[in-house]
Amino acid sequence: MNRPELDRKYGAIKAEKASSGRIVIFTIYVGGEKFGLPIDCVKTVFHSTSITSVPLAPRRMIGLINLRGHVVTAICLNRSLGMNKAPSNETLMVAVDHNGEGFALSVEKVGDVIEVSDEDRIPIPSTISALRRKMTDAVYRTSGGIVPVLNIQSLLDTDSELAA
Amino acid sequence: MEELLNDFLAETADHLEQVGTQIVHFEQDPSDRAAIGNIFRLVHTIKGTCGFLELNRLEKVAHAAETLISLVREEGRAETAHVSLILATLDRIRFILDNLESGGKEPDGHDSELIAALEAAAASAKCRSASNAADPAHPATQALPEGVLTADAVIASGTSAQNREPSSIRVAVGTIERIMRLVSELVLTRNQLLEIARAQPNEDFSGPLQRLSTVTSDLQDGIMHARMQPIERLFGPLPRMVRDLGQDLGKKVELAIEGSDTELDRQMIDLLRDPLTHIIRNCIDHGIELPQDRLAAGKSAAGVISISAAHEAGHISVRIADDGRGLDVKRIREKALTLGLSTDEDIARMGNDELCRFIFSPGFSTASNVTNVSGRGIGMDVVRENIESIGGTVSLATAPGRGTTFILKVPLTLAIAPALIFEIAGQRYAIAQHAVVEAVSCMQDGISRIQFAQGAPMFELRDQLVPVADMHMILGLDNEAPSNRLAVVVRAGSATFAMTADNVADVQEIVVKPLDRTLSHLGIYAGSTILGDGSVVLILNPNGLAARIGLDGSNQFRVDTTQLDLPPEKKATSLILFRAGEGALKALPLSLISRIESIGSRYISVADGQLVVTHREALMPLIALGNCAGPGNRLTDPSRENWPVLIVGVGGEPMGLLVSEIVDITDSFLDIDIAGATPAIIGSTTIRGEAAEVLDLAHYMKTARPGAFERGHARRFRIMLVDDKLFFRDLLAPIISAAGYEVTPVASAAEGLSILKRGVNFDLIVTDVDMPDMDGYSFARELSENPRTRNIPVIAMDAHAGKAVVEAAHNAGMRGVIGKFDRQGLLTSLRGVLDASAFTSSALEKRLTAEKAA
Repeated sequence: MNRPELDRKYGAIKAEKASSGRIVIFTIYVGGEKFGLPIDCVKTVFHSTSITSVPLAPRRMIGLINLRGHVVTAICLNRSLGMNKAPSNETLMVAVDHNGEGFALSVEKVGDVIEVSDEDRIPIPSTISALRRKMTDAVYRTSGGIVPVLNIQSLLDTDSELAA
Repeated sequence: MEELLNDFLAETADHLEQVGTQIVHFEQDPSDRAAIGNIFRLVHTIKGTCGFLELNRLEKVAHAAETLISLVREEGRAETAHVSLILATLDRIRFILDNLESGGKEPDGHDSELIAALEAAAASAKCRSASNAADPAHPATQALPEGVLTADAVIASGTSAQNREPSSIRVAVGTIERIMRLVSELVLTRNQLLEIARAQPNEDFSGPLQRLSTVTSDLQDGIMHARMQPIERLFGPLPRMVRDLGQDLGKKVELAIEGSDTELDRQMIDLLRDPLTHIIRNCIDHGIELPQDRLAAGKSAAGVISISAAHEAGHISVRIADDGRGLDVKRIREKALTLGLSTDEDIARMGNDELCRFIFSPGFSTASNVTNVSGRGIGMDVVRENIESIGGTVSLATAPGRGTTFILKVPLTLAIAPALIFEIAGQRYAIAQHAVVEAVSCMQDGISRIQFAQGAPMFELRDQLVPVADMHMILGLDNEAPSNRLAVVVRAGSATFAMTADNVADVQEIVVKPLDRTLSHLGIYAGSTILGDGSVVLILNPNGLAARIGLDGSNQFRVDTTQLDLPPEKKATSLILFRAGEGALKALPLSLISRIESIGSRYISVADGQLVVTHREALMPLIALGNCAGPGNRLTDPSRENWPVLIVGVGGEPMGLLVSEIVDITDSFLDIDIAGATPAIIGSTTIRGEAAEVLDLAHYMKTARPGAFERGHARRFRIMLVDDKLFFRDLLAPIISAAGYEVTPVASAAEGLSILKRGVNFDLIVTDVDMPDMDGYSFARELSENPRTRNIPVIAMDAHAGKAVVEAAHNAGMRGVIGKFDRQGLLTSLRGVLDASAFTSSALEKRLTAEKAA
């Protein structure tokens, strides 16, 4: 699914956001848990057929992918989020754009695009692990459960590298 | 001139903008060396360029400011008054530039107040540093004369008129890059479509698909071409600059330019401009002696600076040679000691070549007088920095009393570069081909094997031990390294090392894509690229690898004092060694091979008695060398799955040479010991103690691609066109060039002689008869007196090829006369004199050797 398809499926997301001031998030599943990504940075969802591994790269980096003529760095969300379970296959990717650079985040499956408002926002529980807290931007309570929205910056940041 | 001015304005505006942000830093922290250094460079560059654009007002301001900024830079701190003055100068420069842009000329008025203030400040600063009594209690707060800062000139906003109307447009590199990326994607898609069409043939689609395919290829060529420009753009303003500088310094300098039609990336041209200018200024200022000194030394009164550009295996090399006094090694040694560039003992021990490297150090200048031209210790360090930042190298050769030669070697383009693709543990990697010296197979029990010196792997390469970067180890791969590996010998700066690879897959043109921050921090990768099949491969960074294995990459330049290449010396030729069935080793110059592919036997078939292979959707003729094929072109080893094929591009039409085994690539002197007895062999030579047959590619080209060969063959002839009028040079050079010859237009007989004197060979000279200084007849006579040039045929050219002219030409030993407007006659004469039948295999051999040596 690329951006136009997303837009077709879920309507003009941006326009809606602008008018209501509500926040639209793209949900994904990693290691059986549900997470959210800010919709603005999500470019497309794709299956990667071939990944070039990069020796010596941090473990959370799966490798490089040719995404329609662009080379994007693929990042394993399981490892970034400190999950013990390694994913069985790392082919479903969400392409995100961060400061003009392209990245691909491996996910188990993609969920719906949901809309939340500021009232649904809850403080990040202090009981979750430090690593997870660092990767989390905000947490929302929705009808479908609690959805932590990931912080793209921290996911891509070199410094946040921790042995998974 | 107009175009030059526009370029100058655009570039200076960019530069001013960069400096603009640093001014703020500089104001807050006047000791910021980087900022003041940048401002200094800007002012220095402006001053230099103004000289030949005749922008006197700007030049005066820049010169006055440079002295002060130079002092500030040396001291490493600045007083407020100086900062204000420097800022005022930058504003004034901007004001003059704005006026230049809107009005096409410098604004009226003068800057004597500003200049006087700058000079006074410089004088007081100089006097203080000289007396060595920096009295902190009484800083010399030079009061600004009234009106310097408040001059009408300070801000001139809104005057940036848009009335420049250039014939070309400036396109942002990003835009071109984006188009290139899209085109690459289009090519991939096209290839996929073709693949599908082959599997499921459909008549309706085949026509349009074919058109799509052609258009895509043309588009790809077009966009590549859009980035390329002749180096003429860079060389054009040089004669004027050289003349003016020579006059300023009271020196006589002649300039010989060659290869100005060499094409390279526009971005490269821009990046080369400053380094080239700096080197030429240095050559004239330091290199060329005064006329009386030259005469005393037994040289001609006029010094010669020759500049040439040439393509060289994916590189452009620009050679700047003067016949001046050479570098003063003694002075360099003294200066190095004063500046404390190394310990005294080290410097005392250093050889000349090592000492010469110091001229590339920051702040190094041996000129005792600061002149308007050079001697401020800016230049060579910037030259080195600029060239290295674009993946190039600077090397220099010098001989006392004979001159200095600088060679700048830069890649053709920053965007696309040929790369060697190889495999390590099943994954492909790329490395820029210009870094690769050769690839040698190394077996664990063979002669060329990896040995260990205290745990560090070393590789023995022709009596030399080369450190090895064991890629399995460096990349931390678990897989067992195969016992039979390749050692790819790589040069990184001055360091040479061998990198292990499991096998070499291919040589491809790649588009370099940057890596994200985390990966580029690893150091060993230079980027990534997408190959033709859509897969991503990592590009290794030779410098990073050298650092990984502990090689010091600090001496990034090679100094070669032994061979000053005034007369072209015979150099080693890169040869590809291979076997074709039984018999002796075979060799071909590598420069003739465009690439090597492994082709599956199932794609090879016999059509009309000739071997062919499907190559990029077209049939490519294939010649089985040696006894790879028997009668009827049946391959002798039908069970074999793949055959290595050397692909040769003949005038854009490829042909393949099928061989049984690629042995090696090596540098060797092409000394033909025994001349060949069969037409296909030039002769036999000894390579690394083994007899090898050097094949005559021309023979095979004629067999496989007769048409293309004829066209390619004309390309091999070099013609010099001498005419004092630019009009005729511009009229005739394209006609000759379009006929396939390589033509060098020259503006005078003297220039022609100087090019010939440097050992450049021409197959024919066409000269105007009526020229100032030396006419065509005297030129021809002079040529016939020199044994080296006696045999070059000369054709006279005149507006009216009348009887008197024919007679005079005959008397001068010329081979014919043609009319300037007689296009057909010109080409007929050329063909007649350069009779194609004269092109024998021994001529090819001579040419190959000469080409390699030049």
